[in-house]
Amino acid sequence: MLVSLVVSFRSLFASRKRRAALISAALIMVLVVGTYAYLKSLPPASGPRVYVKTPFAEFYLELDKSEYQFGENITITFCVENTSNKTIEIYKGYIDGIDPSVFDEYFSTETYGVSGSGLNPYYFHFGYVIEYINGTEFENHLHGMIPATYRLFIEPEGYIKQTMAVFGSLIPLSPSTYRIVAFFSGVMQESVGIDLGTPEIIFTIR
Amino acid sequence: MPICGSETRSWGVERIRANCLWDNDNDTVVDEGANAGEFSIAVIDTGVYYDTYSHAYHPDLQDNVYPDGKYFYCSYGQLTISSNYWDYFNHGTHVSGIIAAVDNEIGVIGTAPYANIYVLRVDGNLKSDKAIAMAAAIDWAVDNHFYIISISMGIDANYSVLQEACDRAYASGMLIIAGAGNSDGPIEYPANYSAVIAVGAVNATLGRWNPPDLPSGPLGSCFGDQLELVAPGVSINSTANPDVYPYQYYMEMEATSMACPHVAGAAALIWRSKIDPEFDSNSDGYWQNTEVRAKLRDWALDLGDPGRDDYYGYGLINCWAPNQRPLGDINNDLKVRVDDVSLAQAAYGSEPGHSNWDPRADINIDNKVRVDDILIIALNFGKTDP
Repeated sequence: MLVSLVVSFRSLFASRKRRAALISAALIMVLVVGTYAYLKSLPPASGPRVYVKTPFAEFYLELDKSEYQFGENITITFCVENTSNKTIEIYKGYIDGIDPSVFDEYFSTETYGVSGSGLNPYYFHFGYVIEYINGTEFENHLHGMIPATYRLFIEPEGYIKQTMAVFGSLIPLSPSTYRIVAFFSGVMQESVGIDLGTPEIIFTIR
Repeated sequence: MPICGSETRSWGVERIRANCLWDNDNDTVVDEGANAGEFSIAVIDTGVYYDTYSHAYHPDLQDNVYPDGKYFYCSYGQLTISSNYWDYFNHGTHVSGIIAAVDNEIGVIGTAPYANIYVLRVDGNLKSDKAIAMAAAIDWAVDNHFYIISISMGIDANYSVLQEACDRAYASGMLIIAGAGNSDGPIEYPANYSAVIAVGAVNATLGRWNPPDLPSGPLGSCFGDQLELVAPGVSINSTANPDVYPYQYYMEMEATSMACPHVAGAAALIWRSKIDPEFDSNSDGYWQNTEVRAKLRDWALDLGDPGRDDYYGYGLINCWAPNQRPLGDINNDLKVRVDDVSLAQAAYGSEPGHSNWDPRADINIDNKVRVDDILIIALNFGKTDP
């Protein structure tokens, strides 16, 4: 059995034509796999990003694009990172959650160096406001409706990153120009609290 | 924390003396025949934990949660009702345990360990969506003849759809109990409606829950002229969702969310008791929501400024005195006799921590056995449960 397998394997290289075909096929496979791996390793196409930096934390808000088609999902990323050399304590007065049974495909949480009672993958730790460019509010997502507290501890270099894709499949924002700002509150650093708010990002629905 | 070891009562259940009613001999076992609040309560919250394969509830809730529930979800004005009431946020599971964790030799015991919980999970995108979902859940509870609703949720804006639902529910005979909110400011909705009992939170020394302020705004138990009662809301140990917090079946939480279910349990204890003729305002021989509410207020331990005030309302909920039959019967034998006097005498002058401390003798739950407690027994001496 083994002998017959070795013979048939050798026969694959018996002629120059066969060798060339095999090498070509192998090269194509390597090329395809390599290209796929390279593309996967690239960071996702990112749109506008705004930062707020303090001596101990960095907070950013990012959209995937600045211009959307009517009905298209808008992907929003919120990220806070401890840039100091001490653990940051976050004490929240309300729980705000994202229901995964509704938003399963649209919401993700990534943490590093984070612990505490608030380490629930379905808690939304940030806040945001979307307004029409004329200042009329479209959505205010600042205040959870669950009046219970929780704590988070972010170690140095630790971060919380939450991404949500909204609106497109639920209710399209009407074609117009909007602004979004994001907030991260409840930060306690050696008993000193700082409320983080980002600059605005302007985006358009065509 | 593994599910093993002995059962404990949270300090909250003990402080409002719920256990004196159903565990008069203090052996952490519900006494046979005791009133432990066998009454249905609709819990409007984030759902409740259950094993997604076996559908078994938390071991401390297994016997007390109805086998189904509802989920009211509203997205940009579109309301949907489904049966997915699994508790992703852990909150509803904790609240349910404060009301009705069972007596089963593990974990904790709730305020009314025989109460039955019906889970009405609510959520929404916009604030108005949350109000619509909450209103729909209240209407559902009315249509299905529940008498008590516990709502440990709040919205910082008034929506007529929610107010009208609360008014309808109260008019139909339902008692709605809601957490006042945590923003150290005006009471949130629905707690701020007159049809709803607004509940604030206190700590173990009965101070208003008011931790250091957050940078984004103050943090503390909300206050105002609608605040009606306060209840324990700090370091409350209760049931948790072990799938969200792996292997953690119990955890401590704090704030007005935890105070509200203590009052819901207390209401069930009163509603389950025999009508008190003194409070039977329409003399029909049955408890009405207004009568239960009056009794809850009447026996609250006054805190803060004398009388009702905006920070403590009528005071700390008292489960003990309102349920004594007759008043002054501190050993639950339905008579006020020499043995009650003897118990009170033995505990006279004591406070928690003293060797002769007996919480049963502290009828007004001020943590002191004094003349006022003895006087209640003396004034009712010789009475028997009619």
